[in-house]
Amino acid sequence: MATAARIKANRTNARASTGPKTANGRARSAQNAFKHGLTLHIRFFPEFSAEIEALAREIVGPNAHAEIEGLARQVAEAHLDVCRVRQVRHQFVSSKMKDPLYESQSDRRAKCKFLIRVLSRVFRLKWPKISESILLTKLSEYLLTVPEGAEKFLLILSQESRMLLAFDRYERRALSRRKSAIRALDEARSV
Amino acid sequence: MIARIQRIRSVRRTENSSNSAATQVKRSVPFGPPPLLEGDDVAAYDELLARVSEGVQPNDILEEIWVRDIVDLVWETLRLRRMKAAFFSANAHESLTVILRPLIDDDEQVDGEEIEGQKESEEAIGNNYLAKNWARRIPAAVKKVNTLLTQANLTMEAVNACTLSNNIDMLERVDLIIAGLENRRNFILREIDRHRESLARRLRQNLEQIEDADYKVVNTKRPKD
Repeated sequence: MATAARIKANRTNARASTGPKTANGRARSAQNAFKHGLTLHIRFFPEFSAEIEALAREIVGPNAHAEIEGLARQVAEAHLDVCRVRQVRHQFVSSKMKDPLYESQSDRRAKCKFLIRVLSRVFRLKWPKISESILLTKLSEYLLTVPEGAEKFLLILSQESRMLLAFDRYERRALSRRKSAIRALDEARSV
Repeated sequence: MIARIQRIRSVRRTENSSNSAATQVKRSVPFGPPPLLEGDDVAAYDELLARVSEGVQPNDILEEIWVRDIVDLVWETLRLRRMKAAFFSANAHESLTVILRPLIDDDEQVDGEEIEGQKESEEAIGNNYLAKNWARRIPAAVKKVNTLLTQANLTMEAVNACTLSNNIDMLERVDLIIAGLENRRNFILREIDRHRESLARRLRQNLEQIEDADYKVVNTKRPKD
């Protein structure tokens, strides 16, 4: 069992050595858990406030009643939330499409197994009957063959389904918020 | 609306010129960038947007937002359907390899090699060689594949069925996404209907108020003689 002195020493040491020291480092590590920010309400992003105001004004016009203006702001917030989710999803799919070595996990595992088998044969001097250059060419050809075009796109959809389903969920929620906000605005306007 | 489309186009041009559309989240009030991926036809997207806008004639900014939503959803649905068809074409030779396996013996496979006149390493000996030549649309290979399939009383349907069964999970996922997109589109169409009804009701009320203000009570009593 640890003594009180040891616990104290450990705590003192930990305080002296762990974590980032500089302001930049701290700012960066503060974002470690940040993935896409879609769980946060758009109000928490000050860079969107001007756009929210502009869109709200465009929805109800310049001389609207304060209550109507508030409802229009809710519509604008919900709509920009929808746009935000779509942009993040689009960016996610685009980045995967641009990855030149993107392939299925099963293919990657199969390639690793194959490579290990080939290397173990090489080390045991059990070369196949074909020449070294042909072997290397065939090997690199096999390892660098990755899906392209439609196959790649559909592979991304199926392999990244967990992330894409999460984006779908965020979009559905934002759409539902926008629907309710628009209905409330329409109700208020028709009174 | 036309001005808005031009604005979107100009935003897109700027995005393309800076070549950073996918690297950072961009915003353009009130629509955001269009859902175009590498290889998508920008002109076809613009045409679709213009055609739908012309057909719907949006009355206000909210309807414009919905129109853009519908166009994006339709675009994504069409892309997925296109991709699905392309996937079947791209994987046909792999499925053909499986289908041809019991129909072909080793001697014929060597014939398949001779079709192209390429004699490579021993890896070339494999029953996928004929399928590869078929995928390259080498006439002799195409003819041979057709003959083999006819002899076995098979058609290209069997090849597509093989592709389907090998990738059923992936294709099922795509179908689910398409169904989700169509549901969302239908939901937006219903919202447009409801909003237009509300707009019409508002207009009716305004007109009634205007008419009430202009209405004068006319004295219908006959003057006494």
